Amino acid sequence: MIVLNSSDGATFEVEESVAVQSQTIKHMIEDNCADTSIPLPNVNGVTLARVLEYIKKHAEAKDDEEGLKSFDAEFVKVDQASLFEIILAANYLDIKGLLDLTCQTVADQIKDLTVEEVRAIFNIMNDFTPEEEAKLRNDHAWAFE
Amino acid sequence: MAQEDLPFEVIVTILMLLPAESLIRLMCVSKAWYALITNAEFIQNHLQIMASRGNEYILCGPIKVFSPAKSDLLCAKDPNFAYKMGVPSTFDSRHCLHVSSSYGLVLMSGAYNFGKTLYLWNPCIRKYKCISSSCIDIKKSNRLGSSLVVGFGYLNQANDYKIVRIVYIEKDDDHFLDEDNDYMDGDDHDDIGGDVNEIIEMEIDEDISASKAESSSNDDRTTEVEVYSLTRDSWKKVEIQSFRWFLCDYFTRAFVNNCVHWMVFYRRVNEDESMILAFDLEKEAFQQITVPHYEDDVAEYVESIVHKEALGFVVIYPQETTELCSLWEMKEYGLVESWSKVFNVEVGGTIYRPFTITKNDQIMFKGENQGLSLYSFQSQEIKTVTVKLDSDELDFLSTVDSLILL
Repeated sequence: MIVLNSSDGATFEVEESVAVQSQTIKHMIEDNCADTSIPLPNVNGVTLARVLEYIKKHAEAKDDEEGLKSFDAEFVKVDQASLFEIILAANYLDIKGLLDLTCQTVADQIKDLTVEEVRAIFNIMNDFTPEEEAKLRNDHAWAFE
Repeated sequence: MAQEDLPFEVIVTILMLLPAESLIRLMCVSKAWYALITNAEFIQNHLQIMASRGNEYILCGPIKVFSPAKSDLLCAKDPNFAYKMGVPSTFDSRHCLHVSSSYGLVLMSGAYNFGKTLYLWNPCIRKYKCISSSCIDIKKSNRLGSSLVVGFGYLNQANDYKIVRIVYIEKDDDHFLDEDNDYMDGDDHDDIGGDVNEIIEMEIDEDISASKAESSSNDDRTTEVEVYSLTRDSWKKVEIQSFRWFLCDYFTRAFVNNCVHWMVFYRRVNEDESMILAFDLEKEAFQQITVPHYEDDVAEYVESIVHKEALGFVVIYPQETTELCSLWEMKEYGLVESWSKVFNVEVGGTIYRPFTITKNDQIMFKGENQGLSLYSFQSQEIKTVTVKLDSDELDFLSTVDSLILL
């Protein structure tokens, strides 16, 4: 059993065979940094719990393709802030399946949004001048109809 | 707690999953996003992902020369959904034929003077590139009776798109004024079109089919071959010893194993042998491939195609009220013994030419009442797709969603 410590002090126990779905944890174990517990200062308790829910399910129901598909579909039905938290955790913990799933979810959500809506979601500043932006939109006017 | 910003590498991962159309819009988000989306490596990786997921569109366009040049772009995964798109008005001719597509790009050519001016087009981002140059004296092909044949494909290892152009140049104009066809040595040919079943009727330049059945000595014409590379943006002549084949098509869509494939026949003393002619775009060399045995006297239509990434061979035999469609696959490329029959299905009704065989093992063709019909090999049923299409006779070409040419 591996013990994981979240950024806000919560502890979680998980089987090593399940935990190694995270490449980050796997490397820590191999490098012998995991004697008592593994600190994860980048992931809070709530998010870590969700991530563990994902990797536990994917470990135990490995061959049940249909079951996993519906689990995944339900798993990503969360608010955007939580979704981003899970993405950050999956990225930090290097869990490919979870990162692919959450990124695809965001992609599906943004594909028909306007430029302004996307900027808001990712908190991005528009550094184009109005003239530059107008020219870009004009060059590809069909995409903005 | 405020939402944390996603690191840029994660944003890249998300953006790579978006369709090209969305990415065109999102170029406006910020300068960093613009630089990313127009970056060559991003475009390559995006295309790879789209190809591996089968994110394709099917381009339905008119094949009759006199129709307005409008196409419909259908989403391959859900053909009930269509975009209307016009061929860019700046193309040389209003009547452009979709020649072939490979890895995100579509090759087009004017229906008149086919093959002279070529366009590489990405319908997903509505951008095109005109390729009008040549290193062969194409003016010689202005004369009646010369013809151009093209093939197109993407070479994975070289990461390059290449076009091959075969130019038949008739040495002597007089051949076409001779109504009696005295110059032909064929005594077992009553009518060119009837005897050689493989010749596809093209509405343009009908005289060409007469010229194709000439003597095999090639005294009357020369054949020149050139290859274009998108990376180099230039043509290069291919040296060939002798060109002994007669091509039945002006273009081909069968691109597999780095080779384009045309149905051809090789004139022998007593009979013509039909076979597949392959041109390797990487090695820039020709090779012959024998076709599987089929009853060529009753076959109405044959074509070499690509089926599930292997070279395929389709034969259609008309029956009384149905059509028998046979499909062979060459399990091991180049090995004639490896031709194996994949389907032998009877389709109720007529499969109108042209048609396409999709990745989901369906035959898609223009059905009745402006609709599209899909015949599924598995369910053996014909379904009608509800999208309404403008043109009378349709041609189908599938193309992968991509940003190439951006």
